[in-house]
Formats: sequence, structure tokens, C-alpha cells
Amino acid sequence: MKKGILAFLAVSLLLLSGCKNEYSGNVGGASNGGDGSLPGIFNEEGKRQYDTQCASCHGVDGNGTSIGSPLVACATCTSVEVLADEITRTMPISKTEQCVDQCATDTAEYILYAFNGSNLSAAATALNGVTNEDAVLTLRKATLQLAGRLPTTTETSAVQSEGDSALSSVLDVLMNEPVFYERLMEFFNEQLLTDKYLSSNLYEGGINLLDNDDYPNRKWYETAYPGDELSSIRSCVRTITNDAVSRAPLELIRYAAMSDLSHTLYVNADYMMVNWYSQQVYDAELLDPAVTFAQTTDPVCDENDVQLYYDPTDFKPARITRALEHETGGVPHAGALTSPMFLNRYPTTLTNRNRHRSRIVFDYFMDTDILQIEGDRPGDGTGNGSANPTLLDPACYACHQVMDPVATAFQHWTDRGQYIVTGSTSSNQWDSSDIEPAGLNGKTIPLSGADGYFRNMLQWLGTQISNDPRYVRATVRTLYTGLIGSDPLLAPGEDASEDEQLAYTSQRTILNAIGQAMVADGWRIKTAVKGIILSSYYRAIAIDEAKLIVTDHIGSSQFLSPEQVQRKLNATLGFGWDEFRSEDNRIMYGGMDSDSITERITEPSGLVIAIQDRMASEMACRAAALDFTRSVDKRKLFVDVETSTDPRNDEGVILTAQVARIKSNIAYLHWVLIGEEVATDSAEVQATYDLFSAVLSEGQEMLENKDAYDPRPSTYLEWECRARWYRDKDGRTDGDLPEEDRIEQDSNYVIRAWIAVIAYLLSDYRFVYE
Amino acid sequence: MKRRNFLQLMAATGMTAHMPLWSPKAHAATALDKYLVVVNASGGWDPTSLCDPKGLNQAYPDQSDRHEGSTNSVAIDPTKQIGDIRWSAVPETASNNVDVLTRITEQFDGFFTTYANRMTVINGIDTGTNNHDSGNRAIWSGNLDAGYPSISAYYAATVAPNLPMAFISNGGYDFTDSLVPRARASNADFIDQLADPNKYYNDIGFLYRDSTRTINQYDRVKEARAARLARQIENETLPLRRKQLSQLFGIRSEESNLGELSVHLDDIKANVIPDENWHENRSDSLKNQAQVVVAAFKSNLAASANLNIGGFDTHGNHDSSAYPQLGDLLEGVHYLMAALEFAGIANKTTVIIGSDFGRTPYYNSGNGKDHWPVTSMMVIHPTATGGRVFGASTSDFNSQTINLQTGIAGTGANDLILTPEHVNYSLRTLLGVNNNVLAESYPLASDAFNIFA
Repeated sequence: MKKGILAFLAVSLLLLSGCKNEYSGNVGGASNGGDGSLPGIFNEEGKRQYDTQCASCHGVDGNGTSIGSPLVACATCTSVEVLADEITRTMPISKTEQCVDQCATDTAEYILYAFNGSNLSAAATALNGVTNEDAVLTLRKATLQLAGRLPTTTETSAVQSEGDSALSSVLDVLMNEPVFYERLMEFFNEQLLTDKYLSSNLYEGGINLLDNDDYPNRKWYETAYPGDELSSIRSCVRTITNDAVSRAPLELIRYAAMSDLSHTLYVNADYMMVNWYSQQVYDAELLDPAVTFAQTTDPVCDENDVQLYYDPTDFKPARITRALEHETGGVPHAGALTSPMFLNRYPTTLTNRNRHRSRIVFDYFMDTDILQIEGDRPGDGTGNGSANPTLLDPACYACHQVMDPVATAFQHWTDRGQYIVTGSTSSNQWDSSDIEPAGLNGKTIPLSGADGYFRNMLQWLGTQISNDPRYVRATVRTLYTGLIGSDPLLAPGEDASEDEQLAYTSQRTILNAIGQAMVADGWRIKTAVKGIILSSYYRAIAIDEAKLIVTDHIGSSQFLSPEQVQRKLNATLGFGWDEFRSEDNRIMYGGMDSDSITERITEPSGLVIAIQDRMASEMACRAAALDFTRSVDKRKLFVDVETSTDPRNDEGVILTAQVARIKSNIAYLHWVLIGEEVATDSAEVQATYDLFSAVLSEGQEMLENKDAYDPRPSTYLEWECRARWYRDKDGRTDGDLPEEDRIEQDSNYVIRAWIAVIAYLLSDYRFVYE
Repeated sequence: MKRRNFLQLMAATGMTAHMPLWSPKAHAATALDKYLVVVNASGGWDPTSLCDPKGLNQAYPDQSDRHEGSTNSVAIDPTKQIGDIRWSAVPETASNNVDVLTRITEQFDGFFTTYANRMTVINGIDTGTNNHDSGNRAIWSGNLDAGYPSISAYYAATVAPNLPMAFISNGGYDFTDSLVPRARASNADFIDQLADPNKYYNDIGFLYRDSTRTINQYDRVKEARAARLARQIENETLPLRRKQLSQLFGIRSEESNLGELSVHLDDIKANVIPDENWHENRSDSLKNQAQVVVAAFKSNLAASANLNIGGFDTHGNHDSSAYPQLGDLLEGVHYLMAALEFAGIANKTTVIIGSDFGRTPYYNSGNGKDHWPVTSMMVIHPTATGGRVFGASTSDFNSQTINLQTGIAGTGANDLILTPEHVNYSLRTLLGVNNNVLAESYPLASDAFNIFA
């Protein structure tokens, strides 16, 4: 095989350190060959069956159609046994009895041979034309993206000398930093969208979703801090409490990642996450009753003579075991599936009967767009007029037999996410006569007996999902989208060119390998993150376009979100931009609020570029003088120069050593601000130096002839550009600098020349694309 | 940089093959002769409660015992008709409050009496789906499958892709397929600041500029940035980045009138008072969206826009939910038209009003209406001949074949069922954007329905 794939897999296994190789589950992926041998042999009967029963939906080439998913590197294409089992249970849709036993085996053998053998060979060479960036560049990009900081000198040195192996080690370290976990939750929120309920979007948005009878303490802060409604301490606690409630499903992801636990907890944890504040709401039973919530050194809330030190980021697993309004036994938790945030974000109605929730489950957790199963919908879309078309009309049933079992599994969860077990005397009625019984993938949930799941169907569903190969694929998809900035390629249609098919196949193969590495490593999500970062999809820097035709998906240059820009400003300048405090401004810049704006803008308009230009001007003004107030070892920007570093002396003579220092600092700025490795004698450094020099010369001339200009130039910096204040991560002033440290004048115009340089670099393409 | 120079650069760098769709348009700096606004009623509206009323026809006794199995809960009012356009009366079940019923009736009657003569109603469109995503996509792109840009993105990409806010999206189906960026414009005051990135206060810059701009040190930054961008395009080895750089080049090559936006916005706010068009505190969201969009058109910043209003997915208590929301939709569109009139560009603007699909012609057990694939669209456009209805649904609200020329139901050999694809093709023709390179990339069936005759 296929040296490229083998090489990738070998590198992956080496670098995705910690792989235990203990996993024996049925995770999919054509690259799951182990010894690299091609799967199977040509099965003629399998081909006949495929052409007859499968090709109309999955395409003659296995690349799928609008009504059938692709089979190239498919999730269940692990082995003949796994695939035959899948076929037996689920295929053809609505006619599963038509291909079982030998038919299923034959067909599986053909699919593995035809679509997961020869295509692998093509995939292996697919990325041969790609050149990856060096490890130091990847380090910088990954550190900024995952940890919101620049790499340290030590980290850079290690990667410079040891390459990818050191990069792998550094990634392990930075994936333990708090910002990484925030990023991880951001990735998944862009899909789940439960951040809609954060206080910044909705007042008590999460709290208000909880039923008051189930959670009588949901607004505990009103009792704890009575009196003035505008009480600051109450406001502080209310915000933290609401956000903890809202973030509970995403906190499962953080908890699993932080604790090196399986990411399957996202869908199958039999507990929820609480911090001290939300624990007051839920009065839940901590899994470890001896554990205590962490406290911070400085108070988290400090108002009205009340100090609270409980760390809002310290979440613990807990269960609601006490009696609820309708149920005495508490809540049968099933990860995000039973979260009121999830259930309210994807509500249902009397007639929808949880089908919307089912569609979301298939999409988010099984990477399956159920809408693609259109069946043989009649031309006018109104069905055949049967009284119960979702069960009786074949055109409807094709989709509903897949969707409805999952919908039924949600029956105990009301439109508001309250847990009320259905039954003849229950206030939550469920008519099971006109909908499929609860289940998944052709399996029906056992409801009765000691092993029955009637009251906890979603726990059964969560377990099934966590064992479904598609959950691997869904997880990798979410991570890929977050890290790369675009979705993985969609399956090419029938009219796709060979190049498009090759691009898809190779990407699918590599992503499957990454998914399998994650699973083999105990479902540690960090393993998949690292796998994507080390792949060419993240690291490509050049492509031989004579070898590769379809290329736009290779490389991870993505337009940064306002939150990412803010982190980058903090990392590079030491403070943020105050205009990004406004949600309106963030949305205009392409951000989202998880409510009405649920999709980021990834291709900037002129308006967005204008925002970047404004940011560059304001931030350059505020940053330049301020940086010179710091000691050299603390500086972010000016490590080789001082405010007195002028390229000319008073007689106008060029001072070579000064010029060298300035150019050295310019090269440093190119690296720090825009990740560009340039030599001090490069054309880029010269171009930046020319800007510096032109602004400086012009400014110095103006200062010598002040009266010739209107307005009259001053040796003083503009007020906003003076170093008089500290600034915080949100860009607000944060106390005054000591008078002796302040820089208010720029008598030789050097600072203003640097302001021009910083504005130039902050408005560069590479600052907002990373 | 001028287009000629840009093309020279592209040719020199071998870029032309990579960016046929995003190159600056020489005419973009001048005012456009057509604008497009799409108004999306999100959730799937009920045309029979609006512009395709069926009355108490008891069409589905087997499916529903509500309103005697009827399609609507209110009879057809023969007075509610102008030309061929009919609109629904407001049922008493829409509200227990007489004032609310009066308000909704005023909104319905006011809208149709004011705009029927400038409008084409398209009835009996078969979306072929009951799904929100698919329906929204089909209605606004003409294609049930994923991959086609919305009509508003397509239009902006064709006529002025590099305007700073070429395509303003407030939601709805706004897929662009990378033809044109989406812009969101929620803070006009901030946009005002952006017009002059170097402005500190009054006429003073962060970087020095004199009062005559003979000296403007920010220009040195801009010149250096432009030169660097050209070098970056030339030297870039990754196709993805080269594409992004070329997009950036196009954007930066376009002159911006961002500063005019707030001027026009203030003007519109002062002269087209939301509470005076027609009711206080009604449809504020649509009215706010309309203000910014019209100001952006007037400032030559945008070519098209999506306006969006939700609340139409009325699975429960349809009458009390849908009719007030439809009333507010119509009031919002009226405000948009009033603002366009004030700005002097109503005669250049096409406004399309539509939704994901329709709703069942019968009520469910919760007095709601579920998804139904047949729907309508309403198009206010400068060339409307008045009171025209094209297409028709059956009396029990199914689609049927219609005559391509007359739009009347028929069974002729050439008669066809009207689909979103046909409507979008006709809309492209109406907007004058059906004969260009984009049409080749996103072809639509060109059956010659004579919708906008």
C-alpha cells in the first residue's frame, strides 16, 4: 500500500502518544487495515447485489448521492463482519429483509474491495503534492489557536531542534491549559448552540428553562441575597449560576478531556456537571460526596460586603437523585441528551413528536444527515393520502423508520425538557400506535423486565451512540471544522470528477485514521485534536498543482472569529480591543450569538475588513508607547530597540548599527504579529523598514517646521496613544501607570513611526487569517 | 487599484484562473440600477391565511374535526380582492381582543390595498418538501439540493460583489457558495467609525494628517499594505490562501462609502417613523432591519439583503399565532417600502416575500397546522402591472399543472407544476441576471413560465 497512507498512519501512531491500542470496538474507516493489506477480494455476486439494491442510492462508484451516503471509507467499512451486520440490520432502507446472511456478506465484500481498496491506493498518493510547513510554524499557529498565547522560547527551541516529536510533546502540554478547554467547548457549541442561554445573550436564559417545581431553588440567589434587585452581589452570582446551568452539557466535554476520560461521556454520562453555583440550583448528589469545590485566592464575587471564592470553572459530576415534581427517582442522566439546555434548544411539539430532536441526534452525534433519506417522495410531496403516512406510506416510511425510533426514545422529555414518564395516567401522553417503537439502527429498546429501559430510554440511546462508529466520525468532523475552519468535504456526487473523488477519499481516509487513533487511545479527544493538527489539512504550506487539482480544502488558513482575534491581540500586544466588548460589533465582525446568529462569517466582507483596519489603527496607537514602558524582557513588541533608536544621527547620517537593530526588530514583529519568518535582509523587512523610515523622516521634518503645518505637529503623542494606563484583556484602561513610567512625548517621532508599522502589520492578511 | 491594473497583476501572477467570481467590477462604484430585498417568513407560513385563501371549504373531514374539516377557519370575504389578488379575512379565533383583530385586519387590508397594484402573487408553488432546511433552500435558491447560492447572494455576486456590504444577511437562507461575503450590519454608529480608520477625533488622526491632506501618514500605511498584498498574492504557494488573498484584494480595491451610511440612516429614522407606519411597537425587528438595508442601498454599499422574521412554525394554535405574525410581516414590508420610497429607490427595488413551505389545509388536535409542501410568494417589483396572480393551488390546497403563459390551472400537454426552480429562474430574469457566467454554474430549468409579464 500506498506508502503515503502507511506513512501517515505510522507517524500518527508515533505522535499520538499515549495510544493504548486496546480498543477493539467497531470503529470504521477504510484505513483500519492494520497490516496495510487491502481488504477482501472481488465478489461478483456482491457486485450484482450492489448494482441491484444499493447503487441507486449510494452511487455506482460508492461515492453516494443526494439520497444515499458515500461508502468510500465509510464508518462501518471496518471489516466484512461489521459491514455485513450493518447491511443486515439497516439495508436497504425499509426493505431490510431483502439482503441478509450471504447477500449481506457478499455485498460487504464487494463494497470493501471496490470502494475501500483501490481508492485507498489513490488516496495514498493524493497528498503527495503537498508540502507541510515546518514544525515551528505549526507550533505557533497551534499555540495561538489552542492556548491563546505565543509559544515560549523553550517550546520554540525544543521544536526547532527536535521537530515533530517535540511539537507533539508541546501540544500535549498546551492541551492542558484552560484556554484549550474553552476552545474545545467553543468547537462543540458551534454545533450545539446552547451558549444561546448564557447571560450575555439572555437574562437568566438557562435558569428560566428549568421547571420551578422540579428546581425550586433555581433562583437561589434571590433568597440568599435579598433586598435590592439591583444588588451587585446578586447580579454577580446570578450571572455565574445561569452560565453554569447553560454550559452544563458542554462542561461534560471539558470534564472528559481534562480527566483523560472517554469523550463518549458527552452522550452517555449517567451524570451531569455542576459547579458550586449551579449545585445550589440542583441540590444534586455529587458522585464523590467527599469532594469539595475549589476556591480561588481572589474573590470571584466581591460586592455588598459579601465575598465568594468558589471557582466558577470547577465543575464536578453529580446526579439528580431527589424527587422531582413528577418523578420520585430523580433524573436518568444521559450526557447532553437529557440536558434541559439541549432539549430546549431543540424543542418539539405535539405533532413533531421529537423528530426534530432525532434529526439533531443523527446529525450532531452520528454525522448523518437524515434529510438525505428522501425516499420516493411523490412529486407534490403530499404523500399518498393514507391516514398514518409516516408508518403506512412507503415514501414517508423510508425516512421515518430511521428517524422515529430515536424520536420515540425522547418520549419522557417534554417540549420544555422536563422529565415526565409517559403513561396512561401521566400528564405526558404518548400515543405509540402511530410511531415506531424506540430504538436505533434496527434495534428496539428492551422496555420491560429487570433489564428494561422504559424509564431511561435515552441512557440506552446514549450507550448505543457511543458504540456507533458514526459517533467517531461525528466527533472528528466537529473537531476538524473547529480547527481547520471549514467542514470536511461532502461526498462527491455522481457527476464528480476523479479528482474530486480522490480529494474526498483521501480526506476521509485520513480523518478515519485520526478517529481510530482517538478511540484506540481510550477515546481521548486530545488525540484527535493532535491528529488533525499534525495532518496536512492543518499544516499544508504549498501544493504542487501539477499533481493535485482539487486543492481548496487543503490548508487551515481560516478567518479568525472576533473571540480569536481578541485572544491574539492579548497574546501579541498584551491587551484586547474594547470595541469587541459589544456583541453587535462582534456579530458585525462575523461572530455569532448562538441564538439568531448561529453561523460565523468565514469570508470577510468589505465591512469586516474595515473593522480590521479600525482595530489596527486604534490598537497600534495604544500599544506602541505602552510597550516601551516595560522592561525589555517583558516587552511584547520592541525587543531590539528603544525610543531613542533612530536610524540617523542629528546630522542625518545613517547609523548602520541602529538600522540593523530596527530591521531586526521588524523581523521580530513579522514573526510575533503575523507568524512570518523573514530574514533581516529580506524584501519584506525592507518594505516595512521603508514605511518606518518614511513616516519617521516626514514626522521629524514636521517637528522641525511645526508652524508650516495645520494642525501644528506636537512632540506629544495623541492622548489616546500615550502610555498613561495599563490596559486589560477586554481593552479597558486598568489603572494608571506610575508617573515615572509614563511615556507621553515622542520628541524624535520614533514611536509614531512604530505606530505606523504596527498598524500596517495588524491590518495584514496574516493577522486575521491564521 | 483600478480594474485594469488589477487584471494586469492577476495575469502576471497567474491568478486569473483562480478567481473568476470575485474580481472588482468597474461599475460597482456607481449607483446600482436595481436592488433586491428578500423577506423571509421563517418557519413555513400558511398561504391560505394570506394570499391564497380557501375559505370554509371543509376539504379534509377525515384528517381533522376542527372547523368542520375545513381548510381555513374563516370564510372568503369577496371585498378583499384587487385585480386577481385575493387575501384572507382575519378569523375571530385569531384573538379574543377586538383591538388586536382590528389591528391585524388593518395590516392585511392596508398592505394589499397599498401594494396589490405593484405586486405579483405566485400561488401553488410545489416545494417538494416538508422540511424547513430543504424548503428554505428551495424557495430562495431554486434548488432543493444543497449547493446553490440564495437569490440575494447570487444577485449581489453578479452586480457588485465587492461593495463593502454587497449582501446583507439578517438570517434566512443566505448560503453564498463563496460568491460574495455576507455582511451583518447591526450597529450603525460603529460603521460610522469605520469610515475613517485613522480618525481619532474631529479631523485629527491617530497618525498625523494635515487639514488639506497634503500630508496623510495613514496613506503611507495603506500604500505599503497594498504593495504587500500584491506581493503576497504573487508569492503565495497554497491555493487556499491565494484565493483568500485575491478576495481580500478585490475588497480592498473597492472604494468605500461607509461614512454615508449613518447619514442616510439618521435621515430615514427621522423621516420614516416606525411607530407611524402603521402601529406603535409592531414589527420592530423588521423595521430596524429595513432601516439599515435601505440606508446601505442609498449609500451604494449594498446590492441585496435578506430580512428575516420568525414565528411562522405554527404547529399549535395556528390562528392566534399565525395571523398576528402575518400582520406584523406585512407591516414590516410596508415600512421597508416606505423607507425605500423616502430614499428614492423604491422604483429600483424588487422585494420578494416568501417562506419555507406552506401549512396543512387542516388543523391538528392542538389547533395548529403542520408542514405542507405547497406555498406562495409575493413579489413587489417596479415593473409590476398590477393585481396579478400567477399560478394556482387546488381548492384543497394541492399543487396542479398550470399554463406556462397564463398561470391558470390547465391540463394542456405543456402545462407544468410550478416549482421554486421555475420561480427563481423567472426572478433571475426579472432582475436581469440570468445571462452571465454564474447562471452557467447554477443552472435552473428554463421552462418559460411567464410569471412577471
